[in-house]
Order: sequence, then structure tokens, then C-alpha cells
Amino acid sequence: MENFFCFLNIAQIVIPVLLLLICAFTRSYINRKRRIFLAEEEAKYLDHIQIVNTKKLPDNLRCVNCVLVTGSVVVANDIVSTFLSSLKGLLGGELKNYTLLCDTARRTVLVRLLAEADSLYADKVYNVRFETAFIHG
Amino acid sequence: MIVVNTETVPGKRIVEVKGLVQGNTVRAKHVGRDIAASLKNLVGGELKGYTELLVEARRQAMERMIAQAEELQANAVVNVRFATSCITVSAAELYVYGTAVVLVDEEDAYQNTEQNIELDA
Repeated sequence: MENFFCFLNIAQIVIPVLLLLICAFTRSYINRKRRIFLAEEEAKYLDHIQIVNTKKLPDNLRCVNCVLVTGSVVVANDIVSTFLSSLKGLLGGELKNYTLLCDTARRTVLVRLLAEADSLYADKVYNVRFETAFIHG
Repeated sequence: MIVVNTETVPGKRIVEVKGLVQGNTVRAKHVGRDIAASLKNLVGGELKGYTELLVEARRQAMERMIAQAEELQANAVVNVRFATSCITVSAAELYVYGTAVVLVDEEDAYQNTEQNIELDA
């Protein structure tokens, strides 16, 4: 019986730690796969669609079919890197996890925008703007 | 590297567009600055620590954007836009994006076209 309680005590510590580790590994696996996917998609679209954020078309170009294209995404950081980042926040400096999160999110958005442009047979995207919002959960 | 937030640069002509370049960073100040800022909040006024934070973040994001532009062999970034977002407590995200272009002096561009016309003739 004593052994059983001892086992319970260990389990109380080990199981949450395991769950946290699973969270962290799943997230990093998903992230790595996503970045590979994004690199492929970017290569696919960027060789025939040019994307700039200036308003005016060059003088020698005229638009024949102008359509608004958009992309959006909502992302979250996993619990382990949120915790580690909050520790890093006490020291100050760059929070690499969040930088990576934002970077991946923006690339996702760009790929979605490019996919929409591609489905319309566009070859240029003009006047691109980025907006971010904070959704508190 | 010319970095401007206008569409064109006076006296220069855009001869090639390289595409969108971007840089981002999320930065935080150490906890001492956070406490100092929260105390300063009681009386109001400029939060110098956070001003510094944003200046640093802006510089870092711009360095990243310029590095990307150099990789594309551009010599200028036009139409630069800054965006900030609130990610987590006491950290700021700075995002900067623009269009990487190749600029030449207007006179050079004009001379080149003149030469081309002569060659064509």
C-alpha cells in the first residue's frame, strides 16, 4: 500500500512534466513542418507573382483586372515557450520564440494572399499592408 | 542603402523592383525597468525605458529588413511601413516592411535610354 502511494506521488510530478514536454515537442514539430511547407509554397508562387507595397503601377503597366486579395491567420504560442519567454522577459532582450511565431504567421498570411492572387491568374500584387490585432483568450 | 517611406526617391529612377522585404522582432526590457515604468505610471509622463525599448526594436527590425534587401542585391528600400503589435505583457513587437528596388541616378538613366535610341537607330 505504501508503495502505491509513493507511485502516486511520483506520477503527480511526472505526468504534468510529460504533458508539458509533449506540448513543446508537438509545437516544435508542427512549426518545423509549417516552415518547410511555407518555403515550398513561397517558392511556387513567388516565381510568377511579384509582390510590392507601393501604391502606383509603373508608367508602362496598365491594370486590366484589379481585385482585392487578402489573407489572415490567428496563432498562439505553446505553454512551454510562453513560460520560457516570460522568464526571458524578466531579463530583457529579444524574445526569439515570439519573433519566430510572428514571422511564421506573416509568412502564412502572405502565402494565403498569394494563393488567392494565383487563383485569379494575377501576376502582380500591389500596395500590400499588414495589420495585427491582439485577441485576448 | 537608401531607406525611405516615400514611393520614389527624388533625382533617382527605379529600374528594377525586387519585391517585398520585411523584418520583425519582439523585445522586452528587464524587470527593473518594468517596475520603474509602473511606478512612473502613477505620476504620468514619458516612460523612458519603454521609449528605449521601441527604439532598439525598431533598429533591430530595420537591420533585418536591410539584410534581406542586400540579399536580393537591391540598393534601396522604398515605401517603408512600420507596424507594432501587443503580444504579451511588457514586450513589444516591431514589424517593418518595404519594397526592395534598384535605383539609378536620373541623369544616368536618361543617358542610357539616349544611347539605346542611338543604337537602335
